[in-house]
Amino acid sequence: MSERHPSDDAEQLVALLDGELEAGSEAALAERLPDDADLRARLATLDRGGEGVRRAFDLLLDDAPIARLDAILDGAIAATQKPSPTVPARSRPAWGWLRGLLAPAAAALAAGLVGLWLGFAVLGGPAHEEEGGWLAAVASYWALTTPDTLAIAPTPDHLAKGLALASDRLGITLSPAAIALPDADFRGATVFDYDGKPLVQLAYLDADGTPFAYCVIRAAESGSVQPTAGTMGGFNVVHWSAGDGVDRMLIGRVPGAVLERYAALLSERAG
Amino acid sequence: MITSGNEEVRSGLRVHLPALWRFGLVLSRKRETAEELVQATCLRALERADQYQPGTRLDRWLFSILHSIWINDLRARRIRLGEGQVDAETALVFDGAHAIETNILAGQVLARIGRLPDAQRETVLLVYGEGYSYREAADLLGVPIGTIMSRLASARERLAEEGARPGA
Repeated sequence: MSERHPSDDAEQLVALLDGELEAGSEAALAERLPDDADLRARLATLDRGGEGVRRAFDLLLDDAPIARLDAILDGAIAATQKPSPTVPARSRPAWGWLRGLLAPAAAALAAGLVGLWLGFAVLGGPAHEEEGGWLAAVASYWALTTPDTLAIAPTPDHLAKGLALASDRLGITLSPAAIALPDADFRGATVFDYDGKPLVQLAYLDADGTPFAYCVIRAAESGSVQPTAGTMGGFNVVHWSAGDGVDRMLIGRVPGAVLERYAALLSERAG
Repeated sequence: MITSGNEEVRSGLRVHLPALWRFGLVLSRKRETAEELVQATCLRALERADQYQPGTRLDRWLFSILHSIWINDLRARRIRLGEGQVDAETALVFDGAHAIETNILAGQVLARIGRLPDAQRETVLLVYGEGYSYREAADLLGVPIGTIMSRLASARERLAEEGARPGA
């Protein structure tokens, strides 16, 4: 039997904790643990070292200066769309000239965007009963979903027809480009009726295969609602309206932070 | 109609801005540098939008761009300018307003993460913060999987050790 190094053990134990160990190695390790107090102690130490790490990173995400970051992106989009005077790939100092170029645009955009982002508030539920009605209905329906619900990938033809029908019923254009979300797999449009109003559900699987939906409903002429995050029925929810007679929501077990960014993207596209 | 690569990249950037910023902050431990990294990543990703292969993970592509800019440009510049010495003062902390709401333990854990050596810290962020598999982390960082495992083991041991000290 070859010499086992302490570092090999640590690596195996970490892989065990992280679910990255193949079945054979996992079995071998499981066999050693009951009789090896040192090994067990190491496992406990490694486990303890991981405590609170995920949570600390999740909280750090909340620190992100979203308004400034959005303005930075807007500036970059503007800069890369300009008919360019040739821009050097690199110049010294590395970012000084760029900041000077983008600062006025970024500031103006930031001012405009601040209004949009001020509304990110975590609620326990929707603000108004009427507004809450359709959100709760969707959440109830979503409580019925399982991994099987969206397991079968529809054909492109099916997707196109579904979107066309949904667009027709809602009276707004839902093009593939308009509803495409990065790293998410669109699984189809379904038309429902809520209280006499057409309600469209666009279902997706995220990169990890977690289902979520973007739902759109014709609403009475309501005021605009800033993207508002909350939870309903165990799901993360973000709902908003541009005040154009259309209410929108995102729902799923996808992290709320991700839904908020999807909402930002979809709001931006809707103009 | 196929979305142009540029539109996909723009959408990906919009969605991943906070995560990119967090990556930049964990790498550099300076908020100003994190924003520089995001800005540079946005520019490079948009300029190279045609290099993004539709159907592949857009978030992974954006993260690899940011990491490359850090390694090749910003970190190199900091070392050249003599800022490369680990400033004991550059701590990883929640910002003032937020720090009041978050619990003390999370702040301690974050500070400990901030004190990890660069290689361990970036690996911990990718695997435990972003949910990268060992394989994905190895690919992005350009190291063997065994290196990922040993970095994570060392990081966990170090975090556990710091956590065991009173007041740490």
